Parts: sequence; structure tokens; C-alpha cells
Amino acid sequence: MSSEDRSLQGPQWTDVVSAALVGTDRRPVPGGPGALLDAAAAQGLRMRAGVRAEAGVALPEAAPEETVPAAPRAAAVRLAGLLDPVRVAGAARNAETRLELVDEWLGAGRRAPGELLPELLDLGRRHRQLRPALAKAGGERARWLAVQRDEWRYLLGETDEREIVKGWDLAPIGRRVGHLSAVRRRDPHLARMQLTTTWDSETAEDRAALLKTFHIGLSRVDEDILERALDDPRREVRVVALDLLARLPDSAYALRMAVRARGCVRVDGARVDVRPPAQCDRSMQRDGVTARAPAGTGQRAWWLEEVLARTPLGTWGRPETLLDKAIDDEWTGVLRRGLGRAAAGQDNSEWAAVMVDRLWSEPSTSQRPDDRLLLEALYEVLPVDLRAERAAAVLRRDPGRATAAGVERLLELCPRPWPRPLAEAAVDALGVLIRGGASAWRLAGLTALAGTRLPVSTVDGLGALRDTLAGHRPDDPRLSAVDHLTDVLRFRYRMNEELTRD
Amino acid sequence: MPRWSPEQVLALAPDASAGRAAQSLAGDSGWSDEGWDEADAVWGRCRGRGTYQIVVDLSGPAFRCTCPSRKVPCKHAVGLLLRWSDARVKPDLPPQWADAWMAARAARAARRSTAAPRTVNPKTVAKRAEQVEAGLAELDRWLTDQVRAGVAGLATAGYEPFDLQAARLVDAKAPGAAAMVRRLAAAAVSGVPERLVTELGLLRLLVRGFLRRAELPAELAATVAARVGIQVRTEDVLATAPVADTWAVLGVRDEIDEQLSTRRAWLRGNATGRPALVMSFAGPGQPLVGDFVPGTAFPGELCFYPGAAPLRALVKTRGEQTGGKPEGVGIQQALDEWATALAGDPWTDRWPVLLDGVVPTRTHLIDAAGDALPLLGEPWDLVAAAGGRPCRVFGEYGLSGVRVLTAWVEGRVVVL
Repeated sequence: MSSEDRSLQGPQWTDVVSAALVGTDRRPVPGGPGALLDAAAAQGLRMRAGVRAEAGVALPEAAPEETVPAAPRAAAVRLAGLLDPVRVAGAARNAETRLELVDEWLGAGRRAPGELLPELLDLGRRHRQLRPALAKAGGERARWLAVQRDEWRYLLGETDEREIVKGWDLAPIGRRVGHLSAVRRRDPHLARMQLTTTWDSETAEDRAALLKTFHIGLSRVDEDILERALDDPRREVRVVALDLLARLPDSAYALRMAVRARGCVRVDGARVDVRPPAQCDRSMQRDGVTARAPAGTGQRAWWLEEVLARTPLGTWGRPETLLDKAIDDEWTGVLRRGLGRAAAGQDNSEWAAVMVDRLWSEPSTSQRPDDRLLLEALYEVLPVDLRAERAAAVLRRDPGRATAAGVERLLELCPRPWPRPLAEAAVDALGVLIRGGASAWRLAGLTALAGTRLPVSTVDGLGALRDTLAGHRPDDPRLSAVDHLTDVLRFRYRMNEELTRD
Repeated sequence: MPRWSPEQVLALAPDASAGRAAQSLAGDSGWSDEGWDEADAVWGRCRGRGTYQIVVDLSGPAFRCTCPSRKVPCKHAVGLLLRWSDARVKPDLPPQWADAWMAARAARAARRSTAAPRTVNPKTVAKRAEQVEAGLAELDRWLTDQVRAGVAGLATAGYEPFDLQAARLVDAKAPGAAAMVRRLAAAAVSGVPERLVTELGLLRLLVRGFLRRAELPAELAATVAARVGIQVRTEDVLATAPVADTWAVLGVRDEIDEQLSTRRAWLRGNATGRPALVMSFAGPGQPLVGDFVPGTAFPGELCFYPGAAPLRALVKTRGEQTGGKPEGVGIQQALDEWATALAGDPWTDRWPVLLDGVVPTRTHLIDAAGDALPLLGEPWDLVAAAGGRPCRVFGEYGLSGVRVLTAWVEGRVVVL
């Protein structure tokens, strides 16, 4: 209530209110409490009816015109249904499927209706994988909203890469990382100088975070500061430095590792001669070799794996020159793991492809539990088309073992929707698994992935599969897994049809 | 009947899960024997765990499905309507099972319209009035006691004194007054003493109005009786002179409560400009049947409950659904309408406002003249839909601001 309103009513209204608050026993009024209540009704009602519009509220700036075509109405309704927070039964797998369907909707090149953007922006805040599609499907309106709310600012760019004009060492660490990244892009040398000035006074966390920006414009001139960081008292800083140094193939670090590795692994005509390190000295430890082997691994074999993992792959030439040679059985596994880790760590897709194949062909009895993690790391380095090709090959070769050995991760990384050969392999693999009597839970991982990734046209092939299964055993519990899969595919079929309407 | 849009169909779904289930059902597999006809019936069979027969009477709308679901309408009925709205159901002659149900419905409707009106025993009415009068007299004593002792203490007294007093009024057959006493509790803790004092005064006004109802003009007496909670029988309302118009559905709002769920459908006559509120209720666990889809309109007759600022109404006749293009007003005029409503019914606590050319911000609606009304909460969905551009909105205006239920943006109707 504004003061103007008050003055219109005169002191009477405030008197009525204060008398009522204090009580007529202590502040008697003419006519007693009844008359006071009557006055309250009359005065209060007059205030209520006479309420005025507020003035001088600032108009917001309008959102820019859109360029992306709006989604057809039916598609918008479907998206609203996908976003509705009311759950039938909150199975985690269901939520995951829903999220992927939202992602597929957003990736279709149509614009989401404005009223759904707040919910989508909240969702994108929790689920990073939605962000690229959301940035497109949200259009100008989403960016316009993101500016207005801190929680949604991520849409404007993952990090705020603006240079700080004054006092860069005083800003919060997120801004400082952004600043240093921007300077690295413009002038790596200047950025290095800037970090050097404050290096000794930074906390360990900040040293690690700031040093990470050196992957931008990394070159041999950065070697000095990285070598210095190898002697850092804190491990997290040393790890950053090691990763960066391993990416510099002609650095002193790379040379040191190459010398060590060549001392252990020598190509001798048609065979490879392997002699693991006899000890792990201080200089090896400084260069990142962990001295203590994990349980179940031989000490010297471990050192060899560690050395190989940190040696530039260029040391060996092309993969075949090393791997096609005869290698002592005792060392095959160690070499594969060491080189595999090197391929994953150095983002080397050529080596990664070879190592994936070698690791796959290894008999499962000689596998270590963490081989699965190594494989998953290698999948991420594979180029996209190779991923689909390898996944199809794996599913064709041995579907039973593929699901047991975590082919799901590889399938997750494959492009969506799956290319035809992979889609066919997946449908065939389902058939093989079902005929082979695989349990419902073993099917579940594959069907959950296939639902959101198979091309929608595969639904016909699945119909045949379902019919044979239902014909044999109508009460087969695995029917529901296949049914769920076809349901999701049908849903996507309708969704895509709606999204492509004019 | 013109086809409904998918939004209109989904608005019928009793909850979101049924809506989503219907969307996945609406694919081509599993459906057979579908069709629709002139009599506004849509029917079909759907294969799920069993094969179910579904019939929908669009004019109601009313639903029948042989599935065991207790939701009305169930996912099969909504799925069938989605297919119909998508032109995948072709006109046909109804099969026997669909025809039989439609015929039974028609027969029931005919019976209802010819049924003899119930009579009311005047003695019962008089006895009840006495009971209410006694209850209100006690309320009056409670009110004056509060003011004598000072109402400052009520702000920290919690809900108990209000609940106690409200319960007594319910016993005295004055549930409307009881609800107003409960509303006092909200005013007491609001931190705005003016509001509490006004509400106390308005309660006293209600008591005095009821005790003197014989001297009041008939409409005002009816308003007082309605606010006290004396119900008017449906047949008496339907017996009043109907108002014919094309009624635009402006907004629908549900209040789900443990005891009773309420759906308010706000209408406005295109020619008369009259606002109307049609309420429907459902007991615990029962779904509210969605009759009204914002953005549509229907020609028909409404009968208003008697009162000095008539708002609540019943639908007497209802024609085929059409599109609706209601005209709104500016903020200044909306506030004038609010003041007029209060002049008729001082106990009004919300009033429908249809505003044209307002820009929604996080906190306000701003019209072309620069006038602004506060919004309840932070309605980001509304802000995002409008994008800082003027649009038409419909909402409930109350003591704390506007709650927007529907917005018209870029040629679309957005239900918030």
C-alpha cells in the first residue's frame, strides 16, 4: 500500500487498525468493538476496491526474432508430455530413456515452445549431455532466458572466457581459468608469463586448475614450467603436468620415457625382445611411474606397463611394426595393457583401434577386471565411424560375451541413430541371445540402449522376432523386454513423424 | 463436430501419466473397429492386456471403456481421441456395443429432464436458518472478544483458535463462514495487519448481513446466504432465466485437496462480456473430469447462481465446440471490474481478469499504458512463452496479485 493511498483515507484507517491491534479494552473507541469492526469492514473494503495499478515497472527487453522453425503443435505436445514431472513408476532406466527421447526431440532441428524452456533449462543444468541440442532447439528465447537467471547461464558457454583487465589473481578461480584460457588462445607466451608471476603463491588446487589451461596452444616452450611442476609437492599438480608433457612428443620428458621403453622392448628381427625394468628409481617415479604394483600383478611387469603407458606411441612407428612380431606369451598382456593405456591417454585413434581388436581377441580367462575400464577408455578415443563398425563386429562375433564384457559402453558412444550394419547386428544379436536362452536381465541392457538408438524403421524386424518368441512361449518373461523396446521405437517413430510435419 | 486438437484431447487426461500412456498407445498397432459418427460418438477396440471396447460421447464428453482402470477417462479413451484428432479414425456406422451405450445415455438424459422437481419442506429450511443464526451469533461474540482483547496476538496464535471456531461454524451448518474464518489464519500470519483487520470486519459484515437478510435486496441477500454456506439447489439454479451466449473457456484451475478436489473453469460470454465460473468437484482419489479446454468456446446457455455479483454458474445447454477469440481489457479497466465486483459482493477474494497487450516479467504484468499488476510467484513459464512481448493473458486476480492460467502467444494458446 502506497503512502498516497493512506493519506486519501486520512488518519481514520490507521486509527482503526491500531485500535484493533491493541484492543478496545486498552484503547476504547466510540461504539465499542462492534462499531470498530464495522468501520474496519467499510474502510478496509474501500482500500481493497481502490487498489491502484503500479507504475514505473521497467519493461524487459524483448527476445530477438527466431531463425529456427518452430516445432509443429503435435510435437510440442509430445515434448510437454516427456517433460511432465509426474512419474508412473520411477524406474531409473525409464528416466534415462525419457532423457534420451528429450535429447532426440531437441536434436531434430525444430524449436521448442517457449513455455517449456524453463523446465528444459533446469534439465540441462543437471544433465550436461542435453546442452548441445538444447542450445539449438532453445533458439534465441533460451539464450534470452539464460541471461536472466544464474542457474541457466551455462547455456551461454561452458566457461566464461573473458580476459580480466585488472587484478587477475584476485578473481574467483572459475573466472581466472576463463581468463587464462582466453589469453592462451591469443598469446600462449603471455599466459605462461602471467601464471609464472603468481605460481609460488597459488594454492595446490588453483595451480592444478590453472595449469590445465595449457592444453590450449601447448608447445615445447611450455616445457620448463611443466618440468618444474613435476617436482610439485602436490600430486594433483604433478598429474596435470605429466598429462601435458606426454602430449609433447619431442619434449625431454618424452625422450626420457622413450629411452626407458626402448631399453625394455626391443624389436629384434621378427620377434620382440622384452626385458622389464629391474627397478623403479627416483627419476622414474618423478616421471609418473607408480612404484607399487596393484595386487595380483608382478612388480616388474607393472613397471613395464607404467613405462609403456607414458611413452609417446610415435616411439614405435606404426602399430603393426611392433604388434605383428612374435612376443613372448608372458609379456603379451602387459604390452597390450601398457600400449592400450598409452593410446587412450594420448588420444591416438590409430593405436586405439588396433588395441581394441587385440584386447577383444584375448581369451577372457587372462583378463583383468580393469581391462573393461581400459576398453571403455579406448572406445572413447576411437573415431565415431570406427566405433559403430567395431560394435557391430563384436555383436556379430559373440553376442553372449559382448553383453557380459560391457559392450554397452561402446554402443553408448556410437552415433545415433545406429548405422544400418550396427542396427542389423544388434537386432540379430537380440535374436541369438533370446534363442540361446539369455536371461531377461542380460537382455535388458541391450534393449534399453537399442530402444533409443536403433533407427525407427527396425521396428518391423523386431515384430518378427517377437512373434516367434510369443509363438513358442507366450508367457516368456523376456517378451516384456522386447515389447518395451518396440514401444520406445514406436514412440520415436511417431515423434519423428510429428517433428518433420510442416 | 470439428476435430479437437491434441492439446484439447490431452487436457481431458485425468493426470500426466495417463496422458503419456495414451500418447504411446495412439500408434497404429492394436487398434481395430474404429469409427465416429454424426451423433458425436467415437469408438474403437484396443488390444492391451485384453481387448477393450471404448466409446466416447464427444458432446459430454463422457467415456466408457471395458478396461479395469478407475481413471476417467482412461488411457485407452484418451488414446482413441488422439487418433481421432489426428484424422486416423474414419466416419462409420457404430457397432452394436457402441450404439447401445449412446442410446442408454440419451435415454438417461431424457429421463433426467422430465423428472419431477423435489420439494423442500419449509420447516427444515426454517430450522436450519435458526441453527445458522445461532452459529453466527456466536461468531460475532468471538469477533468482538478478539477486538476487545487486541488482535495483535492472533498473528502468533497459530491455526488452533481459527480451526476451533471454524469447526463450530461447520456444526452450525455455515461452512462458507467457516472457510472465511480459516482464511483469517492466513491473513493473521501474512504480516499485514490491515489485511487481518479488514477480514475481521468483513466477517462481522457477513454476520450482520445474514441476521438482517430480510431487509436486504434479494440479490444481496442471496450473496450473503451463499457466502455463509447455504447451498442453492441445482434445480433451482437451472430454473432461473438462462443467459445465452458463445462462452469462451479462458482458464481452468484445479485445487487438489485431501477431502475434496475442485476444478474451476472460467468462462466469458463473447457477446455479453459476462464472466462465469463453473465448478466441479471430486471426492478423494477420484479424478476431475475435464470438460473445458482453454482456447475453445461453445454456444450455450448458462444459469447463474443468484447474487449481487453473479459469477458462479451451471451449464444448462451446450452446443458444439468452436474456436474462441475473446477480447481482453487493459489493467485499469480490469481493476475497475474488480472494484465493481467488490461493490456487489464485498467478500470477493478472486476475480477473473482477461488482459490484452500485457508484457509479463518475472514479477509483473505491464500493459501498454505502463500500468502494472504484481504476479504471484515467479512464473518463468509465462515469461518464457511471451519472450518480453505483449500478449493476452487470463488469470485470477486476488489480494496478493494475479495468478495467470492461460496465455495467448504467437497465435497459440498456452495453458500454464
